[in-house]
Amino acid sequence: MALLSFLDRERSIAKPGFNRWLVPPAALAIHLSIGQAYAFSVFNKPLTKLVAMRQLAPTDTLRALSQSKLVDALVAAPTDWSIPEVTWVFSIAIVFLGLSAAVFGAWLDRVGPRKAMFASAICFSFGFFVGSLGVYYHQFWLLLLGYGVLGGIGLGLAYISPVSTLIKWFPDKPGMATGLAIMGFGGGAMIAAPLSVSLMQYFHSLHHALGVTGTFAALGVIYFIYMMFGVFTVRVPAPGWNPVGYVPSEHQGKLVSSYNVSVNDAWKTQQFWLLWIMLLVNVTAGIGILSQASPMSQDFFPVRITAVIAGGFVGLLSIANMSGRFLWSTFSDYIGRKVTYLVFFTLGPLMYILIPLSGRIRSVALFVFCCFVILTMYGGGFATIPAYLRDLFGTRQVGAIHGRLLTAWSTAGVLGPALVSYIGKYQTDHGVPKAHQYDLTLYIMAGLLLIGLICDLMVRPVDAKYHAPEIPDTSTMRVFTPNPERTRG
Amino acid sequence: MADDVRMQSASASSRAENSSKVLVILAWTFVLVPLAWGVTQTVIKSVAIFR
Repeated sequence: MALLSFLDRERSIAKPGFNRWLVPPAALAIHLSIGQAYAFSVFNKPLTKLVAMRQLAPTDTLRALSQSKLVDALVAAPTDWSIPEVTWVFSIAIVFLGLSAAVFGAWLDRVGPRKAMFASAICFSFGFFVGSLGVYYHQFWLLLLGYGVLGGIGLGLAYISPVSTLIKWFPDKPGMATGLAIMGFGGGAMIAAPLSVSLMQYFHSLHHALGVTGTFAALGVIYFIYMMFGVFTVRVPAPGWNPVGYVPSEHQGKLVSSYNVSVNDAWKTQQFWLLWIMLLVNVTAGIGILSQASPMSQDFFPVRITAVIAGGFVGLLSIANMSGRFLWSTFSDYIGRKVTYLVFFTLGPLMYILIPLSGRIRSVALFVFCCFVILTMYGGGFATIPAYLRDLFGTRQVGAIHGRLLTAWSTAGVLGPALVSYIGKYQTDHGVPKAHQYDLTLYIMAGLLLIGLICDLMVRPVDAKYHAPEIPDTSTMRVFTPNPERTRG
Repeated sequence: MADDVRMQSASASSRAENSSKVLVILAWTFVLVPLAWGVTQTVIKSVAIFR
């Protein structure tokens, strides 16, 4: 019971002397953990060889092989899962990320970030354990339920839980603050991929199996402990708190609100749906590059770029994705959210159009540059949207509103890959040469970004009829009594 | 320090919670070290494209 009361919002209100720079590491710990989702593909091949592996007797030769070589050496048994089946696990996780963020966003704003982070850690870790059982007994539904559904719910809760708290701690630089956290989601994959491979090698050496069962269980423990750092460190500011020297009026632009809009009213506004479409097209376009980066680089430059180098190129794009989250969202504090997205939706199409050209003129540098810039803007789009929401709808229920907006991500997670594979098949069926098969996809992605540009240009301040009346935050008033003499801004 | 938080409202009974710079540095180290390790691993793999 003591632990449960520790999770209460009242218990997480910062006391005098608390340094707000402790909150970004708490948020980063949460996002670095859930960023593992982007590295799920390292399990794709091992998960399709589980039955075949069990049918082989362990030998010294097999043990000597590295994990990747071992997996390649095996042929899947007829009862093994297929790659399309396994990729469903990730897709389901992303769908549940969006759904849980939308459903639990209002609950999060009510109970505070600590309880939400704790719940997310439970779901995310438990998802690994259930998934581990699914792998052990080779039950696909258990894997789907564990990593896909439970893990996905954990992802959604964890993704939104620190965002509104950071916005409240850093009203002077909300873009930078949310960028710091959401950067973790991009960076988490870079930790998880080599960590997962090392763990699979370790468990393989112990049990002569592919090591996925043990790796899932170990990741469940590791991420739970790591996320607890965030749970114990996070604090919410006291009501009426502002950073020293912060004067809101001097920082506010035309689109920055001094009012609040409730989550139930927010999604009735045109602004919410404009931002929803902007996020949808930005993510869909990014997936268009991410899902094709490896084969596209090899088809554009068949001699220069091998499969191994293409793997490194995909890693480079992960760095672009991560750094863009921090850099663009920080930049948005200075140039404004609307202008930032204008840059995404004007520079983006240009980059998409230049990619086919880079293939024709055989310029690897131009190709890498264009893809890198696109991926920085893909990440930047994710990281800047919470601050854009805060500008338009205020801080009071920004977590819940952000949660509902993330359904755009879930939609893009299904729409993007489907669009890419459909166009690819269409091109193949019509006999388009391999090096030109990507052109149409890239031009369509550029067109999608132009739709985003129109939406961004249409964004105006929210109509006054949606503004919520100013009421004190009763959930924290029991502990703190506002002191007008010390209240600034 | 400009970024130190001065609580604008607090009850008399709430005790001070002084978070030192050392604590802040430790917290950042806890998250940045694994991130730096992951980025390094990725960079090592991706340099081949520039050769």
